Amino acid sequence: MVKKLFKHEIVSYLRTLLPVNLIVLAIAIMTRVVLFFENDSIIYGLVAGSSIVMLFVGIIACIYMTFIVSIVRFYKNLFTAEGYLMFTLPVTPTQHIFVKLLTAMLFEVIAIVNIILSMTIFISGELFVEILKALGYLLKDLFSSPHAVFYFIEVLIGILIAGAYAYLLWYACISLGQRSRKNRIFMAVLAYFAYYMITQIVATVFMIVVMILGSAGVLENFANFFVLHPYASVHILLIAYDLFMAALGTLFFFIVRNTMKNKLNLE
Amino acid sequence: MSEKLLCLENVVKRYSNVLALNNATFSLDSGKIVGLLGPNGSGKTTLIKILNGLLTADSGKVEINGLAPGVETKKIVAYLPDNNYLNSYMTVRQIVNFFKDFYDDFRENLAYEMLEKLGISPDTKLKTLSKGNKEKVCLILTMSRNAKLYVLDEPIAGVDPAARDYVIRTIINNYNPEATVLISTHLISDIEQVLDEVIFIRDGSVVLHKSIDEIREEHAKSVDELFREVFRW
Repeated sequence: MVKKLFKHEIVSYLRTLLPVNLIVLAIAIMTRVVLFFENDSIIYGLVAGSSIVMLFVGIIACIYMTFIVSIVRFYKNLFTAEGYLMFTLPVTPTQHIFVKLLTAMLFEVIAIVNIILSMTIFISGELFVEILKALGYLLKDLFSSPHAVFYFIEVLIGILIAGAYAYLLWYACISLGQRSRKNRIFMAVLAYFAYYMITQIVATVFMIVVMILGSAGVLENFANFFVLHPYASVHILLIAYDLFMAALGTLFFFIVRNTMKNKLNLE
Repeated sequence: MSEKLLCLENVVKRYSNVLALNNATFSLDSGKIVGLLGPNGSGKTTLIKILNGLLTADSGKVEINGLAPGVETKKIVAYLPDNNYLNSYMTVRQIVNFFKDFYDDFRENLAYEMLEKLGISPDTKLKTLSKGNKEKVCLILTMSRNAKLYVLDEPIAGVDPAARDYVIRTIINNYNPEATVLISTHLISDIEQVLDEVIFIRDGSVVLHKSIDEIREEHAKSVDELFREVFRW
């Protein structure tokens, strides 16, 4: 069932996001062609400048649209009239959430790959070769330490977890909004802002506590550990971040699943 | 519970301060066409949503073929909601393929046959269809399943008399005769001639559950007449 859900989900995403990605690619090709005719004329300057602006606007639009389309798709497909079809399929709520999340993240990756490809086309030529060389030196420096590979893996996992977290947060807010009898979209947005405010308050309180404890010398042992074991400290921080975000993502997942299993009430 | 296809026992469902279902209890055998009849707000749609796993009862037992509503019952229950639930950007072919993918009992050839009789091409986009035709497509998709329980929520509400005849004919001609069809409606006279049993529901409780023959023998009335008497204001 997951494969079938995934297939239909991808078809639905392609309808909206394939044209967006193709447009960005087309603008990149057009910009590259324009830059090929570089000269000092005002007309060239206007055309090239407009083309470059369009490219960067397109890239930003591509990223935002992918996120927005994913969130809107989650809401529309599951919590509007289409929900009468989706929730009467022989599919569990867990499968619904998993497929929605996986498809959203897949299209984020596709958007990023497309943007890298577009930028590569845009800067192709001598400049591109110089950038590749500089990147090569940077990577060689970075991976000279044996810890670098593990840092890279931890950061990559962190990026994936953070991506899933961002979607699951919105899924959870939408689900919480569904528990209201009226104004469900408004309540979902309210839930998001409430969560944001709570995290800001908690983070501020945490920082104040750390500062107070630090100035009282309570955290001296921790500070010494970080100084004496810098590499291990970075690993601990990265892994702690990954686990923390994964825990939050898991909490949001269970909020969504609980709503779908026990609190669903389609209008 | 017994070997009944559908069993409800003291099902309660409350929305805030409104008691939508109040110890609703009844059971159905296989092979019957049953009318779930009641005025607006009597609890018909709430009951139907619970059968289809779209709502969770606050208390009581619901069993379909011996199982609580869930993934396994959704494989054997064909549901027609009272609204258009299809993605309007899909074509008819795409939605038929969708049903074929998810329901092993879906009869693709039958669906295309019924669509052809309506003059609807498989490549038609759903958003270009009239409201009436969209409703007919939804009905065709539901009745193309070889389900054990068909649950149709107000299939003839909001359609013209000719379309009502079409809906009733489609139901009778295409359902699995060993299955049970549960039709929720408040338009009794149109549906009465096809029913085997009726359930009257008022304020969330089942007030009557009898066969058509029993009603005619005991009350010497049609179902429509009895309904008007029971639910008189």
